Amino acid sequence: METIPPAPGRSEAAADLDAVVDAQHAVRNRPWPKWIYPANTVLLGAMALSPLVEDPERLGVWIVVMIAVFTLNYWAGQVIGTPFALPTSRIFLAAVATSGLFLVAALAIGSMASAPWVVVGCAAGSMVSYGIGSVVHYRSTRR
Amino acid sequence: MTSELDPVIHPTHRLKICAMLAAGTTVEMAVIKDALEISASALSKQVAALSEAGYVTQERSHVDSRRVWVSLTKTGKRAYRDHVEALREIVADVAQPVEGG
Repeated sequence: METIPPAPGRSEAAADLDAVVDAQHAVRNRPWPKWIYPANTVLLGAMALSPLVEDPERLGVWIVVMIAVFTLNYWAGQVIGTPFALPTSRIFLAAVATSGLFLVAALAIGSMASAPWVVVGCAAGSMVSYGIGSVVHYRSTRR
Repeated sequence: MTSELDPVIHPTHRLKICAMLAAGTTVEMAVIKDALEISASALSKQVAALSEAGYVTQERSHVDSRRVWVSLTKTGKRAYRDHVEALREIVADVAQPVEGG
């Protein structure tokens, strides 16, 4: 049976809150395996380029690449012991969000008009954004 | 509204364990052990105390039985959230200037 501890003072409570932040950073900023960065970059590019594939294979290609992205990232998370932790680096998260926007743009443009160079440009944007985020994440987790 | 400190979560190591699980959803025991820099037996005791209170669950990996995954239960999430809120209230209460007198 746990006894009720005496109420902590302000400094002790503040120290406990600092400990919470440190503990969460320890989980969220675990180094990722190096191979995950190029693998994700290539898969994002492939997903963004999927509108260039002729129907009816287009949807199949997109689904296969999507499953590969989720499976690889979940597996990498399992390897490092934190499969669902979100990194704290805001620059990395912003880069991933930008990459996602380029990806959505590629899919939207690819389904509306036949403008392969725009789709290729969006795929490049998606890959470059994620690449920048990768460098930021790598550096922020290996200090 | 006033939140209350939870005697089970109050010890620093247990608070940190709950914080890690709140951030990572499911975390491998070895990751927690490395972050806390404590022995495996000391960690087991802390996790067992949280488990007895119904705050965490432990699951052995089907692929590698040496790996144990720990997660917060719904009760554990609520208790952890209330405990952190109580700590914030203590910090905020003392920080406020005393009126009157």
